[in-house]
Amino acid sequence: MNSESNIIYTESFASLFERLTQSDNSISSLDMDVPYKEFALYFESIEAYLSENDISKDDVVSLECQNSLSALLVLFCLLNRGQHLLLLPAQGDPFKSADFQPDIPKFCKGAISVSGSTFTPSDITDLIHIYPNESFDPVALDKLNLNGGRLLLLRTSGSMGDAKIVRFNQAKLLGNASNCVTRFGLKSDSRITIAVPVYHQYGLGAGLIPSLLVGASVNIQEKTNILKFMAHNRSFEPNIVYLNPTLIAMLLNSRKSDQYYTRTVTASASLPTKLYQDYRDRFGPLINLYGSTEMGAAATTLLGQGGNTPSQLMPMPSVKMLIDEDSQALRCQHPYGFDGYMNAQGDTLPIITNPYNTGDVAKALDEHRIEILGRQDDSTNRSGHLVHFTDIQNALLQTEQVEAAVVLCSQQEVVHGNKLVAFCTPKKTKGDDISSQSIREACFEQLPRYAVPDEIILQDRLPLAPSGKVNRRRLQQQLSETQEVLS
Amino acid sequence: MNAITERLKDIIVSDLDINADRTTLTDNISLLENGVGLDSVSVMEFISIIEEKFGFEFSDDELSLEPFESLNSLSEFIAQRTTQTQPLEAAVA
Repeated sequence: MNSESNIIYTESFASLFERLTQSDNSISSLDMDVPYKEFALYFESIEAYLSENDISKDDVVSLECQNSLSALLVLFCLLNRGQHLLLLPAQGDPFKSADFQPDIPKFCKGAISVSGSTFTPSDITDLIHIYPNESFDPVALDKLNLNGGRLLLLRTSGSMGDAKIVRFNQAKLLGNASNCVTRFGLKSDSRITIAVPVYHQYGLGAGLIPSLLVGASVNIQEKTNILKFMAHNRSFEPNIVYLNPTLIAMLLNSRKSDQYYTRTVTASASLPTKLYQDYRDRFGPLINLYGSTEMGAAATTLLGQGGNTPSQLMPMPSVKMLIDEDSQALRCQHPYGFDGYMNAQGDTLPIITNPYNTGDVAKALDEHRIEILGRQDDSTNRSGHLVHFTDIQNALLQTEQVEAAVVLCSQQEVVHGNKLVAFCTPKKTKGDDISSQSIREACFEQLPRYAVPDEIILQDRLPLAPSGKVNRRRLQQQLSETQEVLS
Repeated sequence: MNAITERLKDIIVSDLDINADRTTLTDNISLLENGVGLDSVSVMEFISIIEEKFGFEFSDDELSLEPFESLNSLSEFIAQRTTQTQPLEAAVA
């Protein structure tokens, strides 16, 4: 790890794009290929179009940024001119009706969306749609306090309800990207497939921008599936791929032959160890990235021996991971982290916890590495010991009697604290010998008494959320319903 | 009426959890965007079920968009693939 330097990155997007014009490589989709050398032509015509529409680089605009070449060229042009920018996922048809009112904060002058997949430098502007924000408020813009720094605003993934707007300085995005270049081993002759959305930190900060920093060949995929992925794979022949966990599972499931990628990068807090290891066996070094919208790339698994499970991580260069001794709460000190959250009125809300609280619990493995144990709310105190549900779940799997296990805490009090309930599916190969009792008995060999679940509920299957993960909320509901019946 | 196409419709309606309406499944409907609209997970499941029910495997090169352009094209592809493998199966038996 000594080769990873701690230099603070100083290049700007303008100088990055200037440098890219020296490259013979290109960015491509299934439909077309745009050489980096031609970027200047596109920038010139998009710039002119923005000026015609009265968008100055000191305005804040939103961009619906899907993984299409046309949208990316607009993104690059905006970054190149130093535009203050809010990145949004694509929301329906990019071409809206004439009276369309974008749902964007008051400090944004307008919303930009981009349609179409083939174009030339002269007609790309036909694909750009600019919708003025009728509730634009110059006072809100003033409150942003934009002195010098160029703004990049990202929305959190918001799987838990309300998405927040996260405020970044564009320079920090480049610093975060340079960390990723080092850690992922990206080079100018790399051929990089990005099959994850670029309006998120992962696709943008850890995938796309690092690829541009080294001038690698990039292939971008939109709404991909195994058929599209394989079509891109044949025509582009990547050696580095960015995949979400669903695509990882698809490659393992649908592909009959193996293929060696120099690197595969994924980002998942709940990647099953078996999936992670099976992928490494068939497709080469898989790196699991740990981070968030707020932090960017914070840590990754290592290649070789040190990275055998997806939750054992090495912090990125110059990132400090701090573990609270009592609660095991994991905090992250990141030189390229966010500057705060924003509300729609233009107020920047202060960062309440500094260093940033990740919401996860972790333990130190050695001087450098940490292991993520789970979410802070996925643990409970039993007889004075902090018990992590993931530890119990792993112990249940070790009994070799269960296929899958989810541990929950009920409101009911038992002698050690809140009652621990484990929902398990029996291992089919073991036949009828498995009972709640036999599983619980086996737990005593794996776990200290206070961590043994008080009740094992065996059922044929666990409810799944649309994402394919176990639906914990449904199980929690099931639990409170059965308790009501009992009491 | 093409027997393979009808079996594919059965699979889409009964085996894929996508709430598909059989009456909308015309023979030339696209299976992906602007048609049945199978999402990425359903595409993977569909492939596995086809492999199981028709007794052949998609090679990596056969995992491509063309066969999935319509129910008809997929049906033709499967017909071709299964006649190719039948003599082999007979030889094994």
